[in-house]
Amino acid sequence: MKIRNGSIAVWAVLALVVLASVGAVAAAQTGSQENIEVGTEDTGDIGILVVRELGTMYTDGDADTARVITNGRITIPAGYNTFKAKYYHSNDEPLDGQGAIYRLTVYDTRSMAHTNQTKVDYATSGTIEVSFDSQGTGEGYYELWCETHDWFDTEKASDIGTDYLDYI
Amino acid sequence: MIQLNGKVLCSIVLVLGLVTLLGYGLVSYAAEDVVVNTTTAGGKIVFQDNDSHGVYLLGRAWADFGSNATLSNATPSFETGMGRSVFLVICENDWGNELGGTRTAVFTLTVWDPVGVPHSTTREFGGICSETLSVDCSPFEPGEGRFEVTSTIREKRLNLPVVFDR
Repeated sequence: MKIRNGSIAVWAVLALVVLASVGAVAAAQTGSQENIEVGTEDTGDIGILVVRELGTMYTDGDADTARVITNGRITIPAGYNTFKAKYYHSNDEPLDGQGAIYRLTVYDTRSMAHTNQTKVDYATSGTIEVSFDSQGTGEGYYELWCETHDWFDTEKASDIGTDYLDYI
Repeated sequence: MIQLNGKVLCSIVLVLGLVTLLGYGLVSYAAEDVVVNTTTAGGKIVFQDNDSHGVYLLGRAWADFGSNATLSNATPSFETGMGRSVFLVICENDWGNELGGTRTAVFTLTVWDPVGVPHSTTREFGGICSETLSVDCSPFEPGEGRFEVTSTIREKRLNLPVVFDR
């Protein structure tokens, strides 16, 4: 009888410890979650300020030509922006081995590159874009690159267009 | 009869393998990597004692397999600060190899910080290309650094007389 009482006491203490630790963990979790929420409220909700087109890229699958035309030096408000470039790919049937690749790279004021790339394998047109925070005011740089290729991705023509941009 | 055929087949395969190996060895021994043409341009980068930084297009490098010409073109002087700067060079090859051609265009950009530590990047292309070489550099102390843009055409040539003359 005595032994049984003892074991019951042990079980009760164990249950108490487990309950307490579960409670502590739960409290800690809600605490940290609250912190995270406060953090996101502080930095978020900037919204997209400006959408700016940087240039146009043309590729031709039959003529094997690639051409980039940039919009020159660009001034844009500092903050969260979207940069776009249009592309046009002509004279290319689907599944004929021909294709084109387009790439847009924009640097923020901390000299970090933000890039986006797309590959097409038939005549089409579209837009490629990248969005990021400029990290303050200052000078940046952008680059548009395109190429057209044949079977086994053999490059037939390519072009690069670059210019500086100012975040003000 | 069947056993003999097997032996003949075995020896044929062996001889064929030996010949292939010998041929491969000869070709790889006789092939030499020749620099057809190379051009270097450069300039200086002044790292000033402030926290400014930026992205700088230092110059352009060309290679042309049609005329075997190379060209490097660079702006002679840049100024930046102690922050993380990115240095770019655009390299282009407008003329690809003819069928069976073994030429490669090699483009190198090297930036030396004021202490003399090199930061370098190299890219090789076997055909038409327009690409950007990029090097980033955050110097430890202010001062004058420099950069170099090199454009080279290399070719793998088979030089059999070299093998037989020895």
